[in-house]
Amino acid sequence: MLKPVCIAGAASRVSPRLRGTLESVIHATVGQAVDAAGLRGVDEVDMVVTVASDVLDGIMVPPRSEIAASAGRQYLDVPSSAGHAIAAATVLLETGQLERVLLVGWGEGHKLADHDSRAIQADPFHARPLGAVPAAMAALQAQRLLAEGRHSDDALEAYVALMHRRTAGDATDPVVTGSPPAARGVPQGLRTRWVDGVAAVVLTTAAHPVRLVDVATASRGYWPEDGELDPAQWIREAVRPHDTTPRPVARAADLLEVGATTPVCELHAIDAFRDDAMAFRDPAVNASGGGAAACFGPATGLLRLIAAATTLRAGGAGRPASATVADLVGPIGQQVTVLRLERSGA
Amino acid sequence: MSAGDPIAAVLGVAQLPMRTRQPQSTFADLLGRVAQGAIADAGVEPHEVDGMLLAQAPTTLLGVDEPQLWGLAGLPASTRFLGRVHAAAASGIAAFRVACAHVAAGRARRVLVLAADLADEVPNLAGAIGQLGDPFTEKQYPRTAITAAALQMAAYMAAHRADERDMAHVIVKNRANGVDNECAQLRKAVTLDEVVTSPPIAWPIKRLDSSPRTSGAAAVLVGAVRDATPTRRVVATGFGSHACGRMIGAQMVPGHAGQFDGSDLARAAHGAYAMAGVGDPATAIDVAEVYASFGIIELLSIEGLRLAEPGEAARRMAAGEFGRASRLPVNPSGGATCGSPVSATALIRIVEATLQLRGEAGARQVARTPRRAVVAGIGGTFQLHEVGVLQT
Repeated sequence: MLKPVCIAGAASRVSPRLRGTLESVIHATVGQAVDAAGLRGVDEVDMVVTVASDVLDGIMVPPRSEIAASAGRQYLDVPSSAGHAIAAATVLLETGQLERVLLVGWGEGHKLADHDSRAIQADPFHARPLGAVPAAMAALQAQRLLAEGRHSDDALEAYVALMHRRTAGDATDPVVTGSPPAARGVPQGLRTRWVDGVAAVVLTTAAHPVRLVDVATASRGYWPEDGELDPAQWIREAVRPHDTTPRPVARAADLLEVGATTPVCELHAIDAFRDDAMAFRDPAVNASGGGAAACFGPATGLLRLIAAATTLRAGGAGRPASATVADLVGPIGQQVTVLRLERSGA
Repeated sequence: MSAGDPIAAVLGVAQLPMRTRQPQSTFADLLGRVAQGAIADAGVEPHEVDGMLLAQAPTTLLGVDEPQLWGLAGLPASTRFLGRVHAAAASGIAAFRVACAHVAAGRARRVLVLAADLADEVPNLAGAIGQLGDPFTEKQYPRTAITAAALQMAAYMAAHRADERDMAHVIVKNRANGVDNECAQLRKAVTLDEVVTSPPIAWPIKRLDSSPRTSGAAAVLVGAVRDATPTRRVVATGFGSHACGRMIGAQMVPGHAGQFDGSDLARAAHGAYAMAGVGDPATAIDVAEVYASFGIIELLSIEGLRLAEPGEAARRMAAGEFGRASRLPVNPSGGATCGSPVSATALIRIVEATLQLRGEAGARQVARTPRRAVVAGIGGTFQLHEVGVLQT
């Protein structure tokens, strides 16, 4: 018998450059999330799960995880993506090994605007000599996707503008404006707005208004060996029932939060859930502004989870009762996690 | 889930012979070979694997960040990647725990856990793992894994009136065990005199007290308990984890000596034993495979895992206990001091424990057929502690 997993509380900070040290911002965000979860303190947490990049800070995350309150507790680091970290925490809770998990993710994304260190993610023998840096990979994907004609250049430009407005207009994510220098001369659809961010989420097996009911994943390598570059196809693959098990993630949800590293990938990922090419104009789709409009690395997906959970928690008649969150990480969004959230009793 | 209930089963295991250099193989080659080996050992088809985890830390050894994007391409279940787990040298056990949870939750049926490291990709291993420390503060003084272990060893010797010969028995035992391990990197027995007269690295740690620089790989295929072959059944029944602070000074408060007496590992063990329904590990555990990059860490692990009373491990080791023919063998494979590819070293502990429980360890099989094993890993400079309990 699996335990239910609920989102008990969360907090986040996003800005072009963090004010204060990373440690102090993480400390404040963790404290706020723990308070929001109604816990007396971080000592009530069984395990801390971090998602952050070693390379970005030049120091391994696990040995310094005490800045995320890991000391004295069980600990896990899942740096590959927020979705993977959420999935790991979820199954540990579902199987009764833990009762409360604190997920903490961070990244000083502004460093990637100055110098894209993701270049060392590529196969050193074949991809790197060809110059297959993340920007080149994303450009190849964009060419392929735009050539298919599902979205016009104008629609893509409108999408980017709308997501930027939604991000800047979100009171919880202040002062995210402007484009970093590295984006000059880059087509709109490939512009990632790198920011600094910290997010913390408390998951629990205790009853709370918003429940995480399903997790599904799909993935490809740095350059997909099957040649498939469409993120919508990866999402469909993730949510496809397997072993005849019904997948709640495959059902339509009231809310949709999709985050990828580039706008063009993000816009095409939305196609997995909505047929309408202009679906992004719907306020129920990426109300938080998506991932590319304020990206701080693999942990960015935590913001999508927080945004969806916050809206669901508000409750009330006619309010959304379910949400789907899609987290696409990697230069072309090739590491996909899809989550299904539901409001209890809905 | 009640205490002692099986969480998931080990369906297949594989490891490659450990070597200083593996110039004929890339990281991706190593992963592919162990993936194939674990799937074959389980007797399933590659398409029946529906989840994959990578235990990988630190990535600086490879010089490839997020190496799953490269190394897993084309492998079974690479399109169902469930994440990279990083708990430094304890990564293998942490990833195995997550794999077991995915299976127990019914979110995957068979999950492959992979790990590999190529230590010859960098000219200096100490430099590559220098990312353990804060670049602005800790790197200004010589606190490394070696010097931290030296502090532990000196403190243990002072606290328990042990000398360097007392502390060397664990290495003699491990190196003798390694002779019979076809995957060990160091397969030559050493004498007590050779250990204590080997060149000091950071007193009292000497060259032969230390694990070598190693390239290698391991894989474990995890599945549902119902899918385990009855005659080779090995199941996971408990896990525990405990993290502490990076700075030794951060914990220098009265009554806290976790980095010096094994009590941090004991906290992880407490959780694992409670989940597994193990009351008295000294009698309930039949074999232990613990990650110990230095002899002192094996002694502290034996005490932290409550297989010996505090301060007793070195004396009992010197008296001949914990050998392969003893009631409670520790590291019958030779352990990490006979070979330790950092990312894979904790996963190798699971591979070795599984082989012992199945009775398939060949020349290194312990004398008494074991029914329950404990595995342990310590990551960072003694910060991240992972413990698991396996049984038939």
